[in-house]
Amino acid sequence: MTESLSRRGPRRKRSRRGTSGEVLVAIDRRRKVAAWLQLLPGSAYFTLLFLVPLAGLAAMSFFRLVDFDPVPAFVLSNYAEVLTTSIHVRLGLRTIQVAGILTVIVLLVSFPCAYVLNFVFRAKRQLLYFLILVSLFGGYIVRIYAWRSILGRQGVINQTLIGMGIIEEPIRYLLNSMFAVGASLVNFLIPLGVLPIYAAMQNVSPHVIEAARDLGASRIRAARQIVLPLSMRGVRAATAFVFIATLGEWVTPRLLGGTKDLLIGNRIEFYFGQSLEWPQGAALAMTLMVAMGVFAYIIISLMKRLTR
Amino acid sequence: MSIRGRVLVTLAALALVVAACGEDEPAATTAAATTAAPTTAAPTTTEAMAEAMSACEGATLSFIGLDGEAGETELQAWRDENGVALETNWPGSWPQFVAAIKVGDVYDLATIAYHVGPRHIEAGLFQPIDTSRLENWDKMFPGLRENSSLRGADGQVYGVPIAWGDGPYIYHPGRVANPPQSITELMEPEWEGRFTIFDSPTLVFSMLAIANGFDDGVGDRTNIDADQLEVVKEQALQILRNASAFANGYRDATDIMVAGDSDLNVNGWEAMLTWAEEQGETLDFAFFEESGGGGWWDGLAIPVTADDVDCAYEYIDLMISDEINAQVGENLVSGVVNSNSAEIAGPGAQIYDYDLVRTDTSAVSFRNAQPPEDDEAPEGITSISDWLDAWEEIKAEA
Repeated sequence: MTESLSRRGPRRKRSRRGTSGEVLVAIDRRRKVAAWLQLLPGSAYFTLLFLVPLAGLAAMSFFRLVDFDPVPAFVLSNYAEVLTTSIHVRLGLRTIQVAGILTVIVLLVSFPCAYVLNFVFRAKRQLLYFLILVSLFGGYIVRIYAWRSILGRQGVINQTLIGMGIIEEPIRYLLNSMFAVGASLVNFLIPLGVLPIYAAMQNVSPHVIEAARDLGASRIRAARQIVLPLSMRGVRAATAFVFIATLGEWVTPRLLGGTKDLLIGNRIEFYFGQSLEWPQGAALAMTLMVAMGVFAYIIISLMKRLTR
Repeated sequence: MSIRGRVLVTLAALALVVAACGEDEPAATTAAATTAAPTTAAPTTTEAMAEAMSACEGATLSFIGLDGEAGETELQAWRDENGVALETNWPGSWPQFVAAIKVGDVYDLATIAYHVGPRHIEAGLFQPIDTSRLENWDKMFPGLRENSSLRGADGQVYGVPIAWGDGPYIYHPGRVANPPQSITELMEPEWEGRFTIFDSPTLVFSMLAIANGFDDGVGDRTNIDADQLEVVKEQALQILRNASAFANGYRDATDIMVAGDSDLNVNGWEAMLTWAEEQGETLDFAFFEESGGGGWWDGLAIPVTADDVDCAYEYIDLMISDEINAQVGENLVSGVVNSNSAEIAGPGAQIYDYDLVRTDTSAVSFRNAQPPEDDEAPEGITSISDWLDAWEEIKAEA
C-alpha cells in the first residue's frame, strides 16, 4: 500500500508536472502561432505595397535611360548625377532647414499638449485627444485648400485684420510663401507629434509629479525635470515622425508655397514628371531615404545624449 | 487605458483610415464625369454617327486626361443611344498621367496636349494614329493637321486635335489698369507677388527669346543657343521671383484670381473668363505685343495600353465631326479644329481667328514653342533638356 501509494504519488506528481508543462508549451506555441497570424495581414500589406515597390525603385535607380525608357542595367551614373547636381544641394539644405524648424515648432506645441492631456485634464483626456485627431479627418488636400481661404488676400486673417483696422491693405505674403507651407504642415503634423509623446507620458505616474509639487517644484519645473526625461522615448519618436514626414513633402509647397518655396520632393516630382528621367528620380528618392535614415539616427542619438 | 478610451481610440483610428481613403479626389474615376467647361444645348446625333456606332456598341471606354475634353456632354446622347459607357480619369497632374500609362493601366483614350505631346510621344505613351480611319481628318484645318507637334520622330501622327487656342494672358481689369505690353514688364518691381505662372519653361523662355530678338517666333520650335539661353534664364529668374505662385491648371489659376490672390496669369485660356463670370468676377485677356500668345491645342490619343482600339478610333472621329466639334469648341471656349464646324459653332468658338490655322504652316500665334528634342537639336542650339535644367536651376535659385 505504502509502496503503491509512494508509487502512485510521485507518478501522479510527475504526470501532473508533465501535463501542465505540455499544456504550457502548447499554449505558448498557440500564442506564438496566433501572434504570427496576427502579424500576417500587416506584414503582407507592408511587404506587397511598400517593400516590393521600394525594391523596384531601388533597382530602377541603377537602370539606364534609353529613349525615356528605363532599361535594366547596373550603372552608378544616376547616383553620380544626383550627388553632383548643385540644385540638389540647394534644395536639400532648404528642405532640411524647413524640416528642422517645423520639427522644433511641432515638438514645442505637442509636448505641452500631451502634458495637459495627461496631467491637467486627465478625466477628459480621451475626448481631448479625439479632438486633436479630428484635425486629420478633413483629408490632406481639403485642408490645404482650407488654408488657402484662411491665408488669402480675402481670407479670414486678412479680412479680420482689416476689419479691426490693424492693416489697410491685405498682407500678400501670408499665402504662397514658406509661412503658408509651414502653417499647413504644422497643422497636419501636430497630431503625429502628440500621439507618441502622449503614449509615452501615460507611463509617467501622476503621483511622481504630485511628489515633486509637494516638494516645491513648479508645474513647469516638474514637467521639465521629471516628465520630459521620462517621456523622452515618445519625444524621440515624434521627432523622427515629423522630421521624416517633412523631408518628403512636395504637395504642400506646390499648392501653398510660392515659386521660391519648392523642396527636394518637388525635384523628385520633376524627374518622374517633366523630364521623364525615372532612374535619376529613383536615385534621388533612394538618396533622400538614406539621408532621412541618417538624419533620424543623428537626431535621436543627439537627443539620447542630451537627456542622459 | 479604460475600455471607453480604447473604443474612442479605435474609432479615431477607423476614422483616420476613412479620411485617408477619401484623400484621392484628384484621381477619382467617374462614369461620364462632369465637364470642366460650361455646357450648352444637348447634342444631336446624326445618321452618320449612328452608322459609325458598330464597333462601340455596349463598350466601356476608359479615358485619362483633362476634364471636359472627352466629349462628356457632346457625345452623351450618342453614348446613351449605343449603350457606351465612358469612364473619365484625371490623375491630378501630368507626371501622374505619365505614370498611370507607364505602369500599364488600361486606357482607351487619352488627352494629348501640344506642350507635353512630343515628350509623351517620345516616351512611348501613345500608339500611332492611322488617319485614313478618321473620316473627318481631312476637314481639319491644315495648320493643325500638318503641325509637327502631332507627330513623332518617325513622322507618324500620334494625336488628333479637338480644340485649340491662342494662349493669351488673363488679367483682372479692376486690379490691372495698364496691362503689360511685353513679358519683360513682369520683371519690374511693380509686378512683385501679383501674378501666377505655369511650372513650365516652354512659354516663358520662348516669349523671352522672341522679346529679345533671339527667335523670330515663326514656325515650330524655338531655336536659341547657349549664350542666348543664359540671357533668357536670367530674365526668367527675375520673372519667377516676382511671380506669387505656380498655377496648377487653368481652373486653379482662375480660382486664385477670383480669390484676389493674383492679378494676372501667364499663360491663360479664354475659358477662364467664363469660369470667373460664374463666380461673379470679370476677367479679361490680352496678348504680349512682340510674342503674341502661346498657341495651344489639346487632342485625343490612343494609349499603348488601349483595350478597345476600334472604338477609340470611332470616338475620336466623332469628336472631330462637324456638329460635335462645334459643340466642343463652344463648351471649351476654344477654337474648333474642323473647318466646317467653324461655320456653325457658337459665339464661344467664334472669338478665335481661324486664319491662323488655315494654311499648312502654323501662323505666328500658333506654334509649338518648345525647343528641339535632345536628339533633334541642331549644332549649337539648346534642346528641351537644356531648358528644363535651366528652369529647374532658376526654380532652386529663386
